[in-house]
Amino acid sequence: MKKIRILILILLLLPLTGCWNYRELEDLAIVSALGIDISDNDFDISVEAVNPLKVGSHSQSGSSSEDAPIAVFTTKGKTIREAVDKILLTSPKRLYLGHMNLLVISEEAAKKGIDEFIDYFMRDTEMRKSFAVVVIKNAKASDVLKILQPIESVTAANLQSSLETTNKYYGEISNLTLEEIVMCLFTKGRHPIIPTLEIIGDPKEGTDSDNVSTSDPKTIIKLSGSAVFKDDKLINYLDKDESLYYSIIRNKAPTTSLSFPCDDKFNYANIVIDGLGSELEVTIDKDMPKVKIDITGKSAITEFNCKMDLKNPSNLKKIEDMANKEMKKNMNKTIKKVQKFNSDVFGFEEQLYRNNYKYWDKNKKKWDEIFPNIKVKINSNIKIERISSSVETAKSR
Amino acid sequence: MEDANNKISGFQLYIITFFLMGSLFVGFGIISMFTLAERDVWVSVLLSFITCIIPLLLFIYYINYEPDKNIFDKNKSLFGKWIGTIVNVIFCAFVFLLILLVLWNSNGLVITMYLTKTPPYFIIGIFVLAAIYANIKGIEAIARTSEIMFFISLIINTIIIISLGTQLNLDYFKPVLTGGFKEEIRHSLNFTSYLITPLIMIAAIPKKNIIKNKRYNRYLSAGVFAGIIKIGITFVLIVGSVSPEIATFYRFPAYYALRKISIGGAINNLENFLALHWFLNTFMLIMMGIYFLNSFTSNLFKTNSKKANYISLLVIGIVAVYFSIHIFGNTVDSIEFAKNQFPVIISLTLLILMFIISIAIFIKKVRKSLKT
Repeated sequence: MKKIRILILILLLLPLTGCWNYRELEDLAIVSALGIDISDNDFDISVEAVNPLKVGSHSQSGSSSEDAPIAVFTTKGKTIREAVDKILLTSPKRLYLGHMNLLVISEEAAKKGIDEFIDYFMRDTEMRKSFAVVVIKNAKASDVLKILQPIESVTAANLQSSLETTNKYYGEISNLTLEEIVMCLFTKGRHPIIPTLEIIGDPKEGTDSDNVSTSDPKTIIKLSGSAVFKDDKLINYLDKDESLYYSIIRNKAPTTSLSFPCDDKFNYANIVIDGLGSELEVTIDKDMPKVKIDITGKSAITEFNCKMDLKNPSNLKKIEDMANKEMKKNMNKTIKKVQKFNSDVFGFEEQLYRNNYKYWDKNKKKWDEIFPNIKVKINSNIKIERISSSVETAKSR
Repeated sequence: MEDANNKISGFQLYIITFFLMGSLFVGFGIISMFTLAERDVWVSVLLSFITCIIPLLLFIYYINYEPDKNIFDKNKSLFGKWIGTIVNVIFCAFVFLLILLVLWNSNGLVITMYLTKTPPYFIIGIFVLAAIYANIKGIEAIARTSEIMFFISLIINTIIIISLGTQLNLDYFKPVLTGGFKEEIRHSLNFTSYLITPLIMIAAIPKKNIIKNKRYNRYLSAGVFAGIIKIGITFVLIVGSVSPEIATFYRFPAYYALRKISIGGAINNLENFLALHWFLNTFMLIMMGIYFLNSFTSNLFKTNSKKANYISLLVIGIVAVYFSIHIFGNTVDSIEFAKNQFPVIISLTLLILMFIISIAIFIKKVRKSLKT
């Protein structure tokens, strides 16, 4: 009996080892970014594979070693999976997509529709869904991955860091993950908006190692705003300032800075706003939706280039009014632009769907006619709480 | 089979019930409830507090009839040897099917999310081997195992509730009842069927084997309602943290929700560990299912020897492993079965059978009282 028990216990241990799924790190090419282009109805896939043994030494020494820390492979396929599999023909190692942290979509692919290829990323179980997604404007996705950039040698890590930092400290671009895009696509009444990249300089020159060995790189990748989608198709762009106001309305910009005119002589002041929040309310007035957006935040004056006595409380109130006026003006401009695109990226329809289902159900088919004509009222209530380290202004002499 | 280790406490009965209540939700109940009820799934959960009362009362009525006997002896005493055996075989078929379903779904979860290249026979084999070993030790060992599992499950669920509870977005629950209230009643019946059906396995433990069995009904009911609350909380956390749209998209929405868990922003990617609590539920059903079938074979062949017991357990295990891999042609068939066929073919039939048995008990009691 004891022998049988021992035998059972040994048998139980065998399947626990997970040997069937055993993969050595040195046998894997860890993919950090994947780019999607389209040509002749095929997907042109480019992957940035990281050499983990080289990345550490590369970033520590600050100079490139003989082997590059990254390699970019490109192939074609009728499906994403087919193209990824074909990379094995050129890569000596099997691709591992579990650590992918950036998906770059070309403008052309985005215009054709992200529904065409997003299924693979949603269905794959190895891949996490929290990687950033970006659209590259006027260039190929493969160009983005091939460009060598200073400071951070891995393009994906560089761009993801830029996205996170920009969003955290300025709020300009919302760092959007795949799962958030999926959420937009599946949620009734909200269309996706995806951060946009731009290549400044010649993409070919950017692939040369000289691009990272100089203090003034010839080719750089820059965050340039956001791509506006209608359902799954790219229809237009917002610039970086408009993207900021989109982020504020969607409550995705916790901190930002705002420059506004503080006199009639083209002088400007700047405040940094913390705890920025927005509340969106959609009501029905005469069978037409009416939107009210309340913006709140606490700020500090970081720069003041006008002549004014900051010790006077009534002047502080005046500055607050100027800042709120600027905020409202810019928001209105952004909303009107998006209304012209006729893509409800703010989720006004979603608000109706959730809070006024009857009206939504009655008018859902007419939403494209309703959305451009919706009246939006903005209440900006940014308070100035601090004036930083100076009580006087430079011009108050 | 008379085993020396055959006594369990009321608390252990509560735990077994609690685990069995959640056992059919892995890759089965959750996906079908989301595809049916979507964001209103919590309404179905609330309604199930009412809809589960009838099957629960029937079960308690049945258990309290001749409390010294297990389900097989009861049926024989009620319907006679031959019809009683046929009824027992029907019950065993139901239980065997539940084991197959749970093994298929557990295997599906493991293959999809953890070990894509591991042969299913090994994945299912590990569950069954462990369950057989627990059964060799007797019901007391099963109950003690369940106690340990309960405390592990309690810790895991506390982490999940605290972490996902703070990420709840109440907007995801809106709009409410867009499909109408009648639909939700229908869905709550589906929900009840996934909850209550495995309870039949408890009938293999005679009431007399419960220590201080005067509170049997209380422990059983507490286990049932705790099970409903646990699954209800699971649904609320899934809807509120990942949105119903995403929940209906993925095959394992609970696993997907676990990906959002982060402890203090520093400990992330805990989903593989936290999903363990689902396997505890399924493991309980496998253990109890094998116990049920093994009790039936002992009852049928009137054998008490250890050797016969081992052979019986091994045969049940091998048959379960083999058929659980081939029960469905593909995943879509299994989801379709969970959504449409299971509540009608399995649960409703079982409910009708319990009704007939309850009527038979009632008639027998009336006749007995008339005689006296």
